[in-house]
Amino acid sequence: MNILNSYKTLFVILSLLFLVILGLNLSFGSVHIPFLDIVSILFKNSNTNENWHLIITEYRIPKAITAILGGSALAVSGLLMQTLFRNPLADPYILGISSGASLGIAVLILLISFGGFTGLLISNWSFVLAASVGSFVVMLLILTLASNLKNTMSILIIGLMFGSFASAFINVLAYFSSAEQLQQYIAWSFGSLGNHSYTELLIYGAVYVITIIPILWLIKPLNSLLLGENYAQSLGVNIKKTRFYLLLITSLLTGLVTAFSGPIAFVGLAVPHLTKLFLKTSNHLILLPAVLINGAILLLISDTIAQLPHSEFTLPINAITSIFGAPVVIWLIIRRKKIRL
Amino acid sequence: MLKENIDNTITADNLTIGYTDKKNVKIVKTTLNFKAVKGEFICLIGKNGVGKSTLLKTLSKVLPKIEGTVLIHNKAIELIDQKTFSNLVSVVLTDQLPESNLTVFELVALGRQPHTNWIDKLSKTDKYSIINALRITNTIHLKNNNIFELSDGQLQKVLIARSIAQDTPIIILDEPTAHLDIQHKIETFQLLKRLSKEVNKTIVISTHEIHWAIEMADRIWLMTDSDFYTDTPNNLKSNNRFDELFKSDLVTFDAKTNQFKIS
Repeated sequence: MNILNSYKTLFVILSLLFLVILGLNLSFGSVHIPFLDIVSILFKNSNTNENWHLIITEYRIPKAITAILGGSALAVSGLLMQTLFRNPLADPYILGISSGASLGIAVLILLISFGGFTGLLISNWSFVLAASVGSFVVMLLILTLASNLKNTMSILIIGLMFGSFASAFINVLAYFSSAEQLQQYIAWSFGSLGNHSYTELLIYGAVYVITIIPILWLIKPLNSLLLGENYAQSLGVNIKKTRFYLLLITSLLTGLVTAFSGPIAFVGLAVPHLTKLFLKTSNHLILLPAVLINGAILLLISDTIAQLPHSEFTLPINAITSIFGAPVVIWLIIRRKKIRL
Repeated sequence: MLKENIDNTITADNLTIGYTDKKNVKIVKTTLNFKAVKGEFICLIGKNGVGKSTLLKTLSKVLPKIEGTVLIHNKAIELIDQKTFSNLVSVVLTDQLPESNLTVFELVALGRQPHTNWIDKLSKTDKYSIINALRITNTIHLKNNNIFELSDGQLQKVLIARSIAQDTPIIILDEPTAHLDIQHKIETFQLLKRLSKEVNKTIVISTHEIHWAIEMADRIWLMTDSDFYTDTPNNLKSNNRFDELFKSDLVTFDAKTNQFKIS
């Protein structure tokens, strides 16, 4: 694993940075808790303060885990899409998966008014379920169409079409909704990392791990795709199969994150680019772990900013990622002049 | 007879090539008969649009054949799975490479994929092959450069190095000299000729450099609108086959200089 060795220092630095950011993320919130007390809560479980203990274990830690899982999953999905489509503008949402999830939520909220079972349906699980069903339907459509298409670029266009179809449908639904329902939908579309129990996180984490691990077997085809599909094929890669697995994994990851945290923009597009700018490699054996860590770091930072230290407000995470992230990426691109796969 | 069979690397019998999609079949060329043997340097010539690329794509398993047979190492091409095929035939295409951070070394290393393990780890043999391919093509000094810093001539050599590193008995190159200046063109021709002789590879290229093809090829596959000839350059010349290449009053073939002249 000699190539990994030459990047060893980098991964040590990234891991340390990750831990520091994680520490910062746990320290900030509407209630001020001294850092040392957080450490003692984390490691010794001593009862420094009943309330603080509760805030850390029941609120901040689950939120941090959601940020880590969501950020890394979106970032990796972005990397897979950019390589598959050989297009630096591709991101996990390009397949229209999150639009499917949004449509699922919009339908759910409207159904509540028609069915009259208010309150019963507005649990965490019903949102997760509606978003999952929405993204799953889009995923099935994409995969079915993809197996009939020779040209990979057509999938990109079809994904965009799904996206605009779903948004238009949501608009129609919104037109017939009450102000209260609209507000509920918009609140969901802001994205949120909080409010997940450990049971939910366990399911989230399990699906995440099962979906991420198979990517290891795709490293080789991903690298050969850097030369284009014809060369990849000449190197023994089965293009149709590879494409199917890449689309399946991306759909599952994007659907999963959107179901648990709502749509979170920017991470999937920006993290692969930032990583490639800094690492100056296109080897997916290096990019894959680096993008995972960086995705988690970026979403943790965004969440820390969203807490607005020393205030009681929490800003929508979906807005924070872009407001603070976009200028950084623009600055980096202008400085380095060139963006590559 | 048996020995000849072992040496046959590519055999086409009554081959029809073209494009198919769900409803239509577009036939480009029919009744092609030819073969290639070990160590042969073959130039495929013909005017634009006559079907050179279609033929090369069929031989490199990018396009399926329409009818007839193609044998690669005496096995029907459609029966060879993609993995095994990548150990028999490597290609140099005219495709534009997507933008990436790949270095020359990494690009050539990708040629080793059919030989590397599941996670693409390079063994000692792999590294030796890569360095060797870079040496043969005289590009070892570029090894750490990004591929987008290279000139067309350098990039072409590096792509050839990649196909050498793939270590296949057959290399197929689609117009490898197209964008090169005269010095790089002749260097490429010499390199390919040398490869066919020193390492006993079958090398097939398509080219418009007819005079160099006549000078250096062991065999020429000459494609015209109506026919397909396979023979040594001298035999083709004495049968006046090159006159059929362009059926136009604008140019004529001059046998003395092996060049086409404005008539």
